[in-house]
Amino acid sequence: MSIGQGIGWLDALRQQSRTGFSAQGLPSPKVESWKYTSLKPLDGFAFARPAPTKGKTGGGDAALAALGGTYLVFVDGAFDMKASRADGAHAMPLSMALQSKADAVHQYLGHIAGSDDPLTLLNSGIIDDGLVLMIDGTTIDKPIVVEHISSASKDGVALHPRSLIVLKKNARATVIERFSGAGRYLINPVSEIVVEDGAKLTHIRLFEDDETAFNLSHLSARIGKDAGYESHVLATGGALVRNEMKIELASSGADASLYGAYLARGKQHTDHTTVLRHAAPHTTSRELYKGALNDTARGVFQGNIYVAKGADGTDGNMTNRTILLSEKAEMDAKPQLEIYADDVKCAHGATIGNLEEDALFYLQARGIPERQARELLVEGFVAEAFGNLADDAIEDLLRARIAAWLAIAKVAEAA
Amino acid sequence: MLEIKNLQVEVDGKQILKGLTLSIDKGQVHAIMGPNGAGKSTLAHVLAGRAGYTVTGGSVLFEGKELLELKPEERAAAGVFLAFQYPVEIPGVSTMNFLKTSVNAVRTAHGGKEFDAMDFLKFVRSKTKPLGISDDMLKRAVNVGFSGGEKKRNEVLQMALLEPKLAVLDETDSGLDVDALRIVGEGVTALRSPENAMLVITHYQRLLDYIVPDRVHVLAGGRIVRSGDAGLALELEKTGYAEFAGKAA
Ligand SMILES: Nc1ncnc2c1ncn2[C@@H]1O[C@H](COP(=O)(O)OP(=O)(O)OP(=O)(O)O)[C@@H](O)[C@H]1O
Ligand SMILES: [Mg+2]
Repeated sequence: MSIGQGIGWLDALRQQSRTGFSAQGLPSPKVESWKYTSLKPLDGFAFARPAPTKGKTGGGDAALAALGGTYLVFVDGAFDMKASRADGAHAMPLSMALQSKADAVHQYLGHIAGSDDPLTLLNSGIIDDGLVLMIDGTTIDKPIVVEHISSASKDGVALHPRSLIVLKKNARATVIERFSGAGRYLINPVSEIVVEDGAKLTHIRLFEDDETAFNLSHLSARIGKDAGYESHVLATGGALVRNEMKIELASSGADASLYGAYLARGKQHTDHTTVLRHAAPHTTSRELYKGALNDTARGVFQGNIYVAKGADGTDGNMTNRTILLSEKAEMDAKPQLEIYADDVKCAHGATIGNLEEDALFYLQARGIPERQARELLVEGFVAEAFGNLADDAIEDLLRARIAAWLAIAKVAEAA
Repeated sequence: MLEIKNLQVEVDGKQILKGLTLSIDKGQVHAIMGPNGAGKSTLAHVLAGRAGYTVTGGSVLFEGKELLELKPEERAAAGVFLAFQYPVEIPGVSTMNFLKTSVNAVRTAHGGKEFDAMDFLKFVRSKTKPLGISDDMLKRAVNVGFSGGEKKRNEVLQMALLEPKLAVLDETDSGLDVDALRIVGEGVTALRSPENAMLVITHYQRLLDYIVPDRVHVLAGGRIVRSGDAGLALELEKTGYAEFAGKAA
């Protein structure tokens, strides 16, 4: 049973999207943006619906829950009331929002994400429960934490959580989302975000899915006048993670800062594909993605800064840096600039390399054993992507996760 | 404490040290001077265990044990310290975290207990003050964006924290203004004790004004070509190394 069934516009959206997806199917490698990430591993995947969760609960992350504030847990695409904790009326599951503020949801849902991307269509054809956060001009101090847990007891379950975040004029909030689970499932989350004039959203997302699972996440955001969207992504999980973001800087003074760190080992594949669309004059963007790949892991970074005609005075800067911890790890980095405006300051760069031997020796010469020295260097390298996080508690939490990953990845042995 | 015998070292097939012999006793300070490219840093790196150098002959004994067989971290734990001529920048690793990891690694290597965060902070503060190192510097990434002088003071701080038995200072005085030179000179002198030894590589007499050496050696062409007392450094400052140019081949 789907959420919000019987709501006319929602039924119609689902119907149209299903038709649209059937016509296209999953993206093929012939599509430019899917050149480096193959969905072939999904051949034969059942795309089954999850069994009703029937009171299945918990499994969240204690450190995140301890941050206080609203804590929303979704298990297999359904809201888990028992494990959740609401703090104020701003954040709620989509299933509830469709009852209490259906009109407001209608105004945005499906309008930010667009309808050309097949995976978004696949999501819109089903729409599982997710976060709805709508804030009027106020500041929410404590981070709003959202867990998407897949308990998939059988292979081939597909989940399509749908989230909507709308920060009205001058509102401020921090949202932390975590994807986790057990088993060989597919999670295909779609998030739509509006940051209105003068508002600021800090958005942290942790991709910590099972190492046999697929996460094909899609986020679209529209940033208003003098508004800011600050994103921090840490991807450590999944057999395949695709973190796709489309940010539209819609009005002058809009700023987007995209920071990300990816760590992959074994046969993991981690893909970070972003489009920063400068659609108005005097908009700014910063992007820094850093990662480390071990074993035979593969990484992809596709960053596009698009400066539309008339978006004069745009300032954009994009950097991607990867260290390969093993000879068999591979990285494809494709930063791109497309500029159709004047007086634009844009720069991009990508590097792929190994751990700095000089730095390693320096640490060892100070008594730090080689393995620990390598871990410290990798941690420092990727955690630099979180250096701009204002909240030290969250930065510490992210660093601790990087350290935990390094402790299992046996970085020293591979190098 | 340190006994280098007929040490021969190659880098990329090129012989840099060509039979270097030098011994330093406990409580002594030796200075090494010599022209650019003579092999001074090469010697320092080989003592600390940096990769890329091939020892083709000779031996180095530290407290009677073969030093060259140890990994760099084992040498540090044994009490060998190198203050780098060019300290390395490590983005993303805070100086404080680096110092704590280093000190704790050496302590645990000796079977000791790690410092907890509070005790370590006290310990560090007791050493940063005389060196004029601010808390802000400790928060920043290791050596990243540090001025030349700040990097060198950071090296002396690490030396003060690790309390090595043998400290090799590779041009710790270069790039310092007069005040920083005094701070570093006094800082290093304060660490001198009858229990440890120092090998000070320098181009100038000015550091040796603070830390008066027991012996001064001239390294040229991969060998020690002359040794003398503290007076030799003063003499070299006037005459330069022209006298040794012939021997450098
Ligand atoms: N990786 C290398 N490959 C080739 N030659 C090298 C390498 N490293 C050092 N050398 C050479 O070894 C010689 C000695 O260098 P070293 O750095 O030890 O000199 P130094 O005495 O410390 O000089 P300075 O006073 O300028 O610091 C130089 O000729 C240098 O070019
Ligand atoms: Mg040198």
